[in-house]
Amino acid sequence: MRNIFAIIKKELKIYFNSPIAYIFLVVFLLISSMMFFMDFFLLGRAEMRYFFEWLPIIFIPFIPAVTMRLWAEEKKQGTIELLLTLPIKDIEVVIGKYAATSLFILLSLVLTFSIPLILGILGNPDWGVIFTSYFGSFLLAISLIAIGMTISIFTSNQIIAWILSTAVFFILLLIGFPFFLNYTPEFLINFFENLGFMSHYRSFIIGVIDSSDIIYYLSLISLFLLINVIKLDSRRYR
Amino acid sequence: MRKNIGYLPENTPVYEDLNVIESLEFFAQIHHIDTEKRDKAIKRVIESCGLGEKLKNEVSELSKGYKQRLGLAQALIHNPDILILDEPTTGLDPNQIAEIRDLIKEIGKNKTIILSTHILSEVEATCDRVIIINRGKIVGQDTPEGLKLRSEAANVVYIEFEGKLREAEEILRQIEGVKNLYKVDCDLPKVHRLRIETENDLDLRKEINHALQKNEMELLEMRKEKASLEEVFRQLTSN
Repeated sequence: MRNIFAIIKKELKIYFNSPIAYIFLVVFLLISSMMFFMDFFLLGRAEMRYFFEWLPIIFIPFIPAVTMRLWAEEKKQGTIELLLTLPIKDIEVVIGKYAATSLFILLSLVLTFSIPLILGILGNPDWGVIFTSYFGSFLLAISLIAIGMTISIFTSNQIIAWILSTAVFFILLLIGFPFFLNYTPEFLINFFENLGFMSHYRSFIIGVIDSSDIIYYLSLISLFLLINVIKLDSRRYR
Repeated sequence: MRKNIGYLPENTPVYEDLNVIESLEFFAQIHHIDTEKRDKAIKRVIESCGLGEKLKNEVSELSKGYKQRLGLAQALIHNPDILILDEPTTGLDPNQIAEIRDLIKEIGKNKTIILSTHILSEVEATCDRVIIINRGKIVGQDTPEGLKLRSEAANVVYIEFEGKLREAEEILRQIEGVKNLYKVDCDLPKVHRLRIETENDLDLRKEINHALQKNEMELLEMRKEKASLEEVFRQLTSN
């Protein structure tokens, strides 16, 4: 446990010592609130539906921006060799890095709370739906982090990690859309629809917490974190 | 096991986005040094590695020499019994090399240091025991002095004398242990130079001196050839 905390602290310090964190937060908030206010003034309703519709699309380039350096940077600097020879378990390193990035994304979501605050002042929003939507967005974000982190472990080049992660996220988003499903063979439709993250995300933004969706996200996360641990172990000399 | 080892990999990996104190704190935490002892441990390595003036600097701003010191400090934070250093002086300027070597010697007084390097003068300057590895196999293992004796050069004496060359060669051949004599060019009149190869581990300088004096020849200079580790290294690994 102490090791995990040490790793979390180190990773967060690295985010906030470099300009990454500040640029990320500012641009993320700017774009996400822009998406919100565009529809808000058009429709004049006290709801965040469109904000949460846009959020997965904003995640696609933004989450790889924080996950790309997780392993790629350590490999490039050679610090991975140092990290893996310390008296610390691989799984602790993986969980520490994962938790730090998840906390960072949680912070960026928390910073958008100004939007529901404004809604509360101006009107009477449905707080339940807003809560489940935030919950769903966070689940989606941490699943994407797990995938992005896994891609980062296979390269020592951050740009490659970013491009590949963005592409994978984009495909995962795309295969849930009707215009894509229309062209898939019938027996694959169900599979694709469930594999893509949109179908599991939509229920949250209409206020439904479905255990099958939670299981989808949790199994994605465990699968990809496991790949991280296995990949780290394979670097060891036997 | 890993708790007793401090390791500094080649090319000094350090976290560029942390500052010196933050880096050391991270390693102290990973090694489970209690909060009360942590400040002491950090202070100790800062002092022994001479990092005092750079505490708040970002690691990315440090020179290569200071990064190397930080790497050493990170490896030493938990006071390990064994320190493993991989090419600790590559890429440093001569002053920095001297400083790091002094540091290594100082630390080596109380700890076992395993140091891998291709710079053999470094071995002579810092090590008590040398292992030469060629293609994964140990080909030589001794003290630096012991290894040098294995060199062919260890058994060569040069002399410069005044007298008759033929006569001298005959006298010298009679000394027990002399294997070969070679004439070496010399510009001075009446003065001759000889290279004398002797059998292993024999120091024949006294005998050579006596023999020449007995025959009334003037010995002007005598020196034993300095054996170098480089030569031993080449001999042991060139197969």
